[in-house]
Amino acid sequence: MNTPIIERDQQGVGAVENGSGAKASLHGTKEDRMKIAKADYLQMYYYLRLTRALEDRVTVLYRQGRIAGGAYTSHGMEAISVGYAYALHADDVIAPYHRDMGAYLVRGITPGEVLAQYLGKRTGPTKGKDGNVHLGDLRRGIIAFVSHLADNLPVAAGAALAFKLRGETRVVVTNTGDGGTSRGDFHEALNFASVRKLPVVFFCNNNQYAYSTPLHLQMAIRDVAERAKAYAMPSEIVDGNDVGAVYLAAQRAIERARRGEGPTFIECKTMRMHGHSEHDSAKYVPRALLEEWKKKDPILKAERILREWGYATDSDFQAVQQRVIKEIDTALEFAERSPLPEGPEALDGVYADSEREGLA
Amino acid sequence: MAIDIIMPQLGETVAEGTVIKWLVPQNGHVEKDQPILEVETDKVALEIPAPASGALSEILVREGETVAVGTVLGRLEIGGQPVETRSQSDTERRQEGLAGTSVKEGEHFSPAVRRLAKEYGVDLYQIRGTGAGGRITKTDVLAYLERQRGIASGSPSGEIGDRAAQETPADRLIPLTSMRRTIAQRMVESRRTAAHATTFFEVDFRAVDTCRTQHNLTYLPFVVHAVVQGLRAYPILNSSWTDEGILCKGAINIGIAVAVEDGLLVPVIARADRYGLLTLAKMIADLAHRARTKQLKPDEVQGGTFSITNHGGMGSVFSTPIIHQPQIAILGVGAVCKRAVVLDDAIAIRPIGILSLSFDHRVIDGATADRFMHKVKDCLEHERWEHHL
Amino acid sequence: MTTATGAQEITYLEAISQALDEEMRQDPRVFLLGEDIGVYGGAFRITEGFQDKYGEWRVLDTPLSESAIVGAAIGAGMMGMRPVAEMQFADFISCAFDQLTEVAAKNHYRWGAAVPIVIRAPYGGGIHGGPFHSACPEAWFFHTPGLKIVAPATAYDAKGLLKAAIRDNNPVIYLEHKFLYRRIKEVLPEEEFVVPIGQAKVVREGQDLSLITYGAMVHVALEAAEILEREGIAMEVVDLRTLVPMDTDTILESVRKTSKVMVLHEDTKTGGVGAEIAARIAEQAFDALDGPIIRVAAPDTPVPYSPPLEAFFIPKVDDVLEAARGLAAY
Repeated sequence: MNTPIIERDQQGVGAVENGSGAKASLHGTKEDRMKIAKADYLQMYYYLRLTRALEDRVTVLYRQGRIAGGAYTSHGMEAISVGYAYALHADDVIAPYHRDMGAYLVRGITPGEVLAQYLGKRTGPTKGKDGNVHLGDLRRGIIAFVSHLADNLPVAAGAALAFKLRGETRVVVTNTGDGGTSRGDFHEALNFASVRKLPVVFFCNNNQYAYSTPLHLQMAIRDVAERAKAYAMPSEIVDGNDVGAVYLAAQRAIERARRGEGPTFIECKTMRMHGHSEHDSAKYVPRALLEEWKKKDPILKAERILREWGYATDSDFQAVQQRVIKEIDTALEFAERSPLPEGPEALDGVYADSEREGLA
Repeated sequence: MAIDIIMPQLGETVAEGTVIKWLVPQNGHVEKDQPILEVETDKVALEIPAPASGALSEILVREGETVAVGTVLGRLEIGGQPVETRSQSDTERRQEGLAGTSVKEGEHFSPAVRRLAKEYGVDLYQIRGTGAGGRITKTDVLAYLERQRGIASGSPSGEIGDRAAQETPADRLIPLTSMRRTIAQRMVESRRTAAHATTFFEVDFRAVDTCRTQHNLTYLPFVVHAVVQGLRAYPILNSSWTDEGILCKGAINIGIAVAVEDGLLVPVIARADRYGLLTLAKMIADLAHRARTKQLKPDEVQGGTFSITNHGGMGSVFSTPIIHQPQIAILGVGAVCKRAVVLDDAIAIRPIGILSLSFDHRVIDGATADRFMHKVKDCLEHERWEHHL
Repeated sequence: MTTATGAQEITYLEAISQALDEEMRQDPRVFLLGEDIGVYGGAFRITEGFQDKYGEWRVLDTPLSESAIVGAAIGAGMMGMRPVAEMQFADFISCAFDQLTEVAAKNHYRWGAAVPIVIRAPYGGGIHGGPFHSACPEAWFFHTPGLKIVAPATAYDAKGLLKAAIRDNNPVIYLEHKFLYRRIKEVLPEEEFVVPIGQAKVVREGQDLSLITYGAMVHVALEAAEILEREGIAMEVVDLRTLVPMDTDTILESVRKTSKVMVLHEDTKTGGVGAEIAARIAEQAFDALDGPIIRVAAPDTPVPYSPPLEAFFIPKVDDVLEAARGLAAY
């Protein structure tokens, strides 16, 4: 067993026994290397970079006053959504939450669409009806995020129920934050999914703050994963800043679900490095804590592992960085060039017409 | 029955008037329009003509008395059953703004009653109410009108009966559909946004006609083709105004205005530059059919970069179409019909149609618009059409 | 019970069962979920025998989790199923309020995902259910764009509207009135039929005044109309059948004809469906009115339990008669 890199005394959180009795895996190991092909790791690294570059651009646009509404990033937490989305098959479905930009990108949402959405353009996935990270597309297996945290957990369970009813081997992955696990819908969904052994994986991005509320005021337990025990649901705790570890944990849970053995709960320990949204300076978070976590940045961590495993060198990293910056520039050009919707378009689409619009 | 003689409004600021002299004695007969009394207001003295023929049955305001405008001065019995005099004091009665309607101060008439009174010019004081507290109900008005019809048919001179019998058709309110609202909003918006100017070109369609009749085509695909040539030569016409600059569109997507049952749709031929006349004709027919049967897909009405409206179908010669935003110009195609034209000092008969181009003067100057139109005209008149099927 | 001609009379409750059975038989995408609907057959026995016929998974007993029931229906619906979720009592729909108003109602508008689900909600009083088993929840959802609401008053409409709701691509709240379950019956056509959503019906014609209503109150209205006719007052009765989208045209047509109108509902008065109907009439048919628009509705209290209290609370024939006589004489 490896020494956990998240120390109890630093975080007030740490490794625990998971529901299946195995020690939690908290970072990339030599065994992991056997399980993650070079091409896959490099692809996940690219998505980490792309997510970071895209959200950094969003932050800049927000500060320039070019975004009409709010802006939310997954800065420092990109490994979670990249890791779980990368572990899915094309016809699987995700029900992400607002710190899952990486998952959107892995599922094929383009940075141009994301920026168009932020700018309220007609070319965004919601055609200007909704903003920032509230986007979805059933053709790409993405159920759009609802701000009421945990609302999409019963929905994810229902999508999994549809797969189970039809005998399909598709899986749903959903995610919420530590705060979201306090809502009733979280508990209703976990309970229902566990009772009916539905093919769904519940992720929790434990970034230690729900807006300004720290974990110890959110719940009286040390690890969010303890909640799963009440539903007899196997759980894992992983280092949310290690994309390889998240990917492998997701893979285990997804395959378990695919085999018909039911849901799994995965707690990803991480730290929210920005405010709740970009207007929030997050002065309530101790600076020392942020400094500590800065060293554990998921991109730096991925680079370290890629170097150690002999998968990539610094020049490869630079090439990826150049590539993503260029992609984001092109994306922003597209978004800015795109037309704004016209006022009366606000009236469209309250009801679905008789044509079938969901997934077949 | 009786009708009221009222102190008239003699000048906008006048509030009251004085009865100088009754020109007809009580119960004396008077013909319609014959002077019945003299009144004076400020410095004006006037004879008031009788509103109908009949007997002056009541004199309510004596000579020398000054009363408010609208006050009933007396009553004229014009035949039929005398109506019961209402209990309220006569001086409370005054005329209201509603045309042909007498409304008593402090009394409420329901919207339905007011509407009927206005529609048929009914004096509501001729009606006895049967509703709560003597209120005049809609049923009362309808019954009254029914009675008047009977009277009118019996007495040709009965003015009120005539009016009631006229049966003016009621105004009808057509509810706004969302399409109508959208069209209204977009049209006004376009007029507000773009600096509209229109230029007209006369085009000889002889070459088009030759090809058209051979292949059983309409004029429209030819016009689309010619417009494409014009846009290629002058791409600035295929653009949009943005605050950053003029956005010249890469693709040529031609919108075709189609009149549908309750409005107008502009389905788009995407990449119109890629197709020959026969394909264009099929696409136009298909889009028009599906526009009329409400089967267009949303993306088929989006992305247009230039629009054409074929207003000549019913014989319209030229028009000043409104630009379909965010485009920069729209071409109207007038009716093509044979006209005598002078060619080389001889008179010839040619199929002539007028093209009207409305353009956004913010982006395009008159000279550019005319060059584009010249190109379109030149293409229509001289294109070797058989090469473009 | 059979009629003289031998045709079978069907209760309102049986009509609902028939609709579910027919749709499940014809469409494998249709499945049911809710509390106690499977083994037990539902609190009101609507789905009795269904599990034997369709199995444990298509007649799914769920935990006591209204939010998860509706949320799961939404998820399954978006994945191509046609879920019919049952709220054991409509009162409990408040536990699923958020899933209905925030998720189901907004998904199509926000990102184009259709949510073809039906929420069956046994509602209404008259059965001594007290404050938690008698409510009319329609006004909560009437105000939420994106939801449809139907409220049948007859066995025919109960069956036809439920079939239409299952086939609709939108979230439909299906309000089934508990009081009517076994109290009304009629012979239904042998052949299949559907009642389109969004169409009101003039169930009794009259010239003197119009009464707009829905649900169990349709029967109260008809009874009152019968009595009024003997007094020489011809009252037209319009059964809305669908609350959203509301058939305003039929309402206005009736108002333009009679010029006097009252709205009747079992739900409490303030901010109820009747307020919206009154507003639409005032906006769109003002010049046709020959009297005030009258609402007859329950008082603004929770539904009380004790029989005399409940009898006072629920609008009844006498309330309608009194209001109608006043309006006719106005």
